[in-house]
Amino acid sequence: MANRWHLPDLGYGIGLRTTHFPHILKHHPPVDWFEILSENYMDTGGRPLYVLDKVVAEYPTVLHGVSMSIGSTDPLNWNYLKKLKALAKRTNARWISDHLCWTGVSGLNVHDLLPMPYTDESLKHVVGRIKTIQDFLEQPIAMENASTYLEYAHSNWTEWDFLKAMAEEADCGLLLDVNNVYVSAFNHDFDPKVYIDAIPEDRVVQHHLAGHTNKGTHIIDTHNDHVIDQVWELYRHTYQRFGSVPTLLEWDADIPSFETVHGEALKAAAYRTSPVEEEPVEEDRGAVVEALTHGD
Amino acid sequence: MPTNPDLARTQRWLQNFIVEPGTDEQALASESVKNEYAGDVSQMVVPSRTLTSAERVGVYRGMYLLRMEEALTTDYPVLKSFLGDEVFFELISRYVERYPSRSHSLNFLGRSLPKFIGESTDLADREFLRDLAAFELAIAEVFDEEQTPVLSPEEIAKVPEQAWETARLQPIAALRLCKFDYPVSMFKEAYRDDEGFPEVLPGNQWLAIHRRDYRVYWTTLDEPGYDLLGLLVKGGVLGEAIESICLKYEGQVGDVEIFTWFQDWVSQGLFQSLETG
Repeated sequence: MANRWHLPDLGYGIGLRTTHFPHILKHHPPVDWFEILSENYMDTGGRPLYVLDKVVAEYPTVLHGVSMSIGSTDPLNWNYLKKLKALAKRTNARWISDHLCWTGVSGLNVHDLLPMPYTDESLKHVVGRIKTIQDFLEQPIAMENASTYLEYAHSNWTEWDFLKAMAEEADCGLLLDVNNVYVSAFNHDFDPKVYIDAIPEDRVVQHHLAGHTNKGTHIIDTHNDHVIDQVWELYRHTYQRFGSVPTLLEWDADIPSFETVHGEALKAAAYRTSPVEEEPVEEDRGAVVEALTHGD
Repeated sequence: MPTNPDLARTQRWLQNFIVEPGTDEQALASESVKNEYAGDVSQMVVPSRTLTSAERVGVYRGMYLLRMEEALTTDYPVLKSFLGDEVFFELISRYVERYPSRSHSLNFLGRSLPKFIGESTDLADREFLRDLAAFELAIAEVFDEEQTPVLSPEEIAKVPEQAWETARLQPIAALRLCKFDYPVSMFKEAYRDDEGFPEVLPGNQWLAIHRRDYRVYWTTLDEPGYDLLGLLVKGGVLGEAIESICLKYEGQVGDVEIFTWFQDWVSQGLFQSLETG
């Protein structure tokens, strides 16, 4: 299903990573599109910017940030937003995204995607800030569901209902990270398909897929490995609901060769089919914990 | 204390819990955390089937210092290699407590590390480590500096002879002149070549750290050359700068040295423009 802004279906993309710069410049690989980490290019005038300009001239790109801190109770960082707007213009970014989270208060930046309490106050707060930012950037932004590792006792919304309400009241897009849905579902013990099925179809402008690290008691969104089968199957379910949506493979740590990362992204095509009759067994957190406890 | 804390209080509580030094238990019991919420942590964060409330917050605490270390390792790889993983981690843990990130970018996190090392009286070889860190910081800054045009030898050749006396040279943005009390470049080169580090012995070193074709280089200068280049990059008039250096280093510096330095600096692309008259 097309998104409500008729943003293009770019296909299968990967993140632009410095370790892949030489390969990209030399081989001009047939990648559908690149995702640019906004903060990596805002404050440099050296080689990263030189390569970025080369990539932008040849490939469609989108911007993805980690420091918008939409949920913070600190004032909006206008210095950051001006740089973001300038970078969007420089790269002709097809859209701009960041995360539903906060990264710091009292002037600090913890550089992590810290979870929001899902309350009426939070909803009103983020909706107001998203509207202000969209007005300034002169375009809608896409908010991503981050992987989270805690839940607040005073939350009175589910994460998926909060995301839906936020998107509709702020009139913003959503970057639906399928791996993050899986990770959060494992950590907070909910059905990831319920989450996927609650998200409004016409607001999703992009998907993320990634690997993660299972610690037994919880999963960490590490982006350092292949996508596991269960996440691929959740992606298949997502495709059944949303149809063709630009899909990006995130691999940000222990980054392998360009061919490996791109190959992982292209696997997504195989999961854009009907569900198989038998689905893999879900990761049993209890069994994993018991195995760890007994030293297996 | 409220069991339905407002958003601002919730965020201050969680952030303080994450950045407070010490163990998780010490952080929970700290004044900064208790000031925001003094009740049981399970009233703020629900436990899961497999983790307690404190353990769930502990996931974020554990990742915080690891992420800071990762960022600082990018800017200070030689320092980390010299100190070893454990000592480096302990150093950066104390550093981010004193100088937490206040920027949207981790690029700026390490800017005060040389200063912090200089102030750390408990560090062995403190002055050397400060110099080594300052060298690595200069490299990082040069790497990210804006790209500016480079004055070519051909453009230099077009300048009439009579204009040189009153000319001023503007340096490229990606240039840092540094004086060190230790030969820090030897340690960088040892790290680069995967060799053992030399012994830490004092010895002055004057370096021009610069970027050409998006690669960072460092050039060893002698003291008179460093002084002259320093005068020029500060906007000094060429004739006056040369005269000043020749007077200061009488008997050591003459036309040959001046010409050779200038030829080297132009070929290295250290200047972006020349202003005559």
